Amino acid sequence: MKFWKDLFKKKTLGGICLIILLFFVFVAIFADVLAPTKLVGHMLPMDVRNRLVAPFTSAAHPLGTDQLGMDLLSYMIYGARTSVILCVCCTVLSTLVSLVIGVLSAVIGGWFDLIVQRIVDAFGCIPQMLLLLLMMSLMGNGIPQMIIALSVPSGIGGSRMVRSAAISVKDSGYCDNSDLLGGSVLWKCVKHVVPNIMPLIIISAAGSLGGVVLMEASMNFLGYGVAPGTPSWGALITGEGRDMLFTAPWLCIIPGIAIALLTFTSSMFGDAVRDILDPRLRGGVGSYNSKKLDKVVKMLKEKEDEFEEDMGDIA
Amino acid sequence: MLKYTVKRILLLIPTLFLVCLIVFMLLRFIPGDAVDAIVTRMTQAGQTVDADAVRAKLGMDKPAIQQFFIWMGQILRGDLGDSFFQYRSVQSIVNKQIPVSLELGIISLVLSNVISIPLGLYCAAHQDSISDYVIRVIAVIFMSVPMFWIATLVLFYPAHWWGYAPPVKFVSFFENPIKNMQMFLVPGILGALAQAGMQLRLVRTQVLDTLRQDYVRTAYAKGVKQKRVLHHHAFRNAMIPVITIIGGSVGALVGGNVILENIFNIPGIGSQIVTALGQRDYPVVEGCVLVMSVFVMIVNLIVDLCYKWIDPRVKFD
Amino acid sequence: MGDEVRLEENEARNPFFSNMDTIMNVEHLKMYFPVTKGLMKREVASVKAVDDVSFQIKRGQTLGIVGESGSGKSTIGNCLIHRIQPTSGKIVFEGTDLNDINNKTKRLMRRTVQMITQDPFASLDPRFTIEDCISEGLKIHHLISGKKEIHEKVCEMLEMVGLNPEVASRYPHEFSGGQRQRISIARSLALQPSFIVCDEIVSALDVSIQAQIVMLMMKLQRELGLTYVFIGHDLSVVRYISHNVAVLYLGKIMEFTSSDELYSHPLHPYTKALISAAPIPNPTVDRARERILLKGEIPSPINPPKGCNFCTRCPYADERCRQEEPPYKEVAAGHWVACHKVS
Repeated sequence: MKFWKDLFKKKTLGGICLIILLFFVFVAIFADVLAPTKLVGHMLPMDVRNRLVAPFTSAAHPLGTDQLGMDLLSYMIYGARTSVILCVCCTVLSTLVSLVIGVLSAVIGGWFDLIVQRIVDAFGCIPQMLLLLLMMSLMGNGIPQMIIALSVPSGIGGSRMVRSAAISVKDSGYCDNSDLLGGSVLWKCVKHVVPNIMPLIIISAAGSLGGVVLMEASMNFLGYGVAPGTPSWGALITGEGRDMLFTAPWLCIIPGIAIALLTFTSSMFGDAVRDILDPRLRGGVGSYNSKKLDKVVKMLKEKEDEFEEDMGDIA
Repeated sequence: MLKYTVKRILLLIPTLFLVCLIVFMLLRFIPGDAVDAIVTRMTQAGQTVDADAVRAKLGMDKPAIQQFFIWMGQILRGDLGDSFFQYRSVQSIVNKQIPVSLELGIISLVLSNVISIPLGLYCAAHQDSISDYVIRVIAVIFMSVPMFWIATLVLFYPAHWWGYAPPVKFVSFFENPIKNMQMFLVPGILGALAQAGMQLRLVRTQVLDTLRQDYVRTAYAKGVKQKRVLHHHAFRNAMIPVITIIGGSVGALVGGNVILENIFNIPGIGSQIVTALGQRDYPVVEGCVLVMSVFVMIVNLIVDLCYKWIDPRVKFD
Repeated sequence: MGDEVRLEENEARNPFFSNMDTIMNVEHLKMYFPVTKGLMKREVASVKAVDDVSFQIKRGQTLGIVGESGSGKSTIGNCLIHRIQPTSGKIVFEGTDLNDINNKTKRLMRRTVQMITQDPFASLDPRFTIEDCISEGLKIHHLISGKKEIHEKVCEMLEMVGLNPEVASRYPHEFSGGQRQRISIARSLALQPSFIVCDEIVSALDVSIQAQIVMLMMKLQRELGLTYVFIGHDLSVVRYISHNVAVLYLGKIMEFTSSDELYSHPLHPYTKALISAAPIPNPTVDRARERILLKGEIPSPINPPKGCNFCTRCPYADERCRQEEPPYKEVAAGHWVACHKVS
């Protein structure tokens, strides 16, 4: 409860970003209702009479059309659905992967930890983009494949952070005490380790939300991505957008802005979540700079003067 | 120190083996193989070939695990194999293309540090001021804009409006520095922006974190000026985690600029891998990924060893 | 009532339940930690944390273990509750040799044998309410089910350690060190153990709070018939609560006797030094008494001195002490000493 209060009161920008994010989610869920033209099968219908309508010139096509007369607004709405699905699924899956690997590696320790860490290291050494390319060419294009390719490597990478946090919880007095009470490894994981590293998990999940959309778009550029025909912002930019950069610039610019907006809002939201949940960064308590100190000195001087005046009155 | 270094290098061996295994296995399970591609191409050229003979010649008739150990044996002998399509060894491809990618990576790395570190310090020193907010928001915008999108716009619109386009043919820096820079500067800047945004925010939070420490309060109490506090106390201590991030980004910058290399037609190792992957040219993909992974490993090792130098508290055990 | 019956049923199946007079018998306990070197983890030396220690603990009594830091007192505590496997030696608890138990009986043993640790600020999970903390053991061993029953049990425990039952829904950070230590005690008691190892439980607390906790522990011992091993470095606190005291130095027992005897007739020079170092409230007495000041630091347990462990710091040490290890012998009824100078 306090979290939401803080979000909207102290981190107003983060709160606004959350509302925009929720708007994207809303659009994604009700895409079928909101879109002016509906999907037929997997594709949007063509309207050959209205080809390449510029945005804001036609009431029927507020964001214009492409060279086949496909309504851009509807495409953007269905594209939002793809992006949101990818965003949510990838974040959840990669968090789960890093949670399971990190916590087990930390709690079991010993040989298991050593071997798992070597595998994690190996994945960390292969540049991420290349790993994605390899995985995508292995599995082929499509949304489920995208989800796996985008979340498994990043989950494995994130497990290091989870592991080091879990180790510090594991070494704490209360985990030792759970051992003394007779608690099993599973009990310690579920009752102590996971709840205590939860803020960190939420922070990293919120932070990684934005990267997914960006990655998906980049993959599309290299020819790996969602199945052909599935509405996707990235696919639009790299397909028609690039081909018709001069005749129909809106086909490139509008989805680009949409991607940037979604990434931007989710990063800002992630920042706000981190600021609220990470007590180290909580403002107010520490943070010395000369301006603040000057203020304190001034205040103390005023107090001193008052005190002297009072003393004078008494005398 | 020496013992630690030796230990770390020994630990790299299993990691390297696993990298090889992962890359090899991922590649072998990719549907469609090089043999089909070769046969199609040769048939089109009017030759009649036997697919099985090609397969046997490339050593691909053996089971995957056997192929893997044959390949590993080659690597241990320092031989990365030969390309299926390019009639030259993988080694020569790597030798030719690594410097190109390295140049792009170094330009991006230098630029991102030059941008991010001073601005990060500035933001931390003026916490919660208007300029702090503006710089941070711009940093996030840089991180949010799809690189390939902005690169496409930057490449095509100037060409359309002013008829300017960066050179298409690659020239080495030592042959013609100006022409070389014309080619690399714009992609270098674009590659630096996202990295700079991320690093700036990290520098800012780290500096703010150290500004909260007791020794900073003591310094202020002693009457040390803010500038000196920032430089002598906050900056050095804040750089420790920043170096980790810079080290981590070296790999991404050198190996991950597949997109920029593709758009600006730079013959680097990233675009080579994408092409080879499309052709199912296994030896090239394996060799290039392996070389890049080794590069990342070495950078990580150097970063870890650097800790001792920056942070006297670090003990190697 | 049903829960009480279930607890008793559990008791009946527990092998760690008997009516013997001696609850625990420790014979020649040794705990050496290996010191490794190099990549191959070659064993180059060992830390002799506990070196040939034997004693008995009687049911319903308290054994105090005193010693400086590094003398191996916590290691003994960890061996007694079978948290670490000793290098050699035999610990018989309630007639069962701890070398023979498997993982399943080890878990059962956790119910009968409890340990309370030193740091009350680290031992409670910050995300657990007090009720969660205290009922954790009950939930692990499935002793009680049902929210209401658990709540009742928690309230009972809180009252037993002198806390208001209303605090059950609060979080650990709202409490002071002494209160947290009471909560830790309640958590251990909830499992109805018969044997508790108190590992420096008062060292982290203020002196006034120390007295409260010690009094509480003594009250609980009277009411519940518990057996304690009370580990500490403050001889006056340990003496107050213990029936017998073992003085530990470099992993060996220097002197073992009843606490009154130890204070009135200390025989070992180390014990004398410890007693003379403790402050006495009466300044006249304090100034008049003979003081033995120990020089230097406790030697490294990796490389203990030849002969008597204490010879490097002993004011009375002679050539024999430096060459020959003194035997651990009974000089009077129930008074054991390891020193050449005592006969």
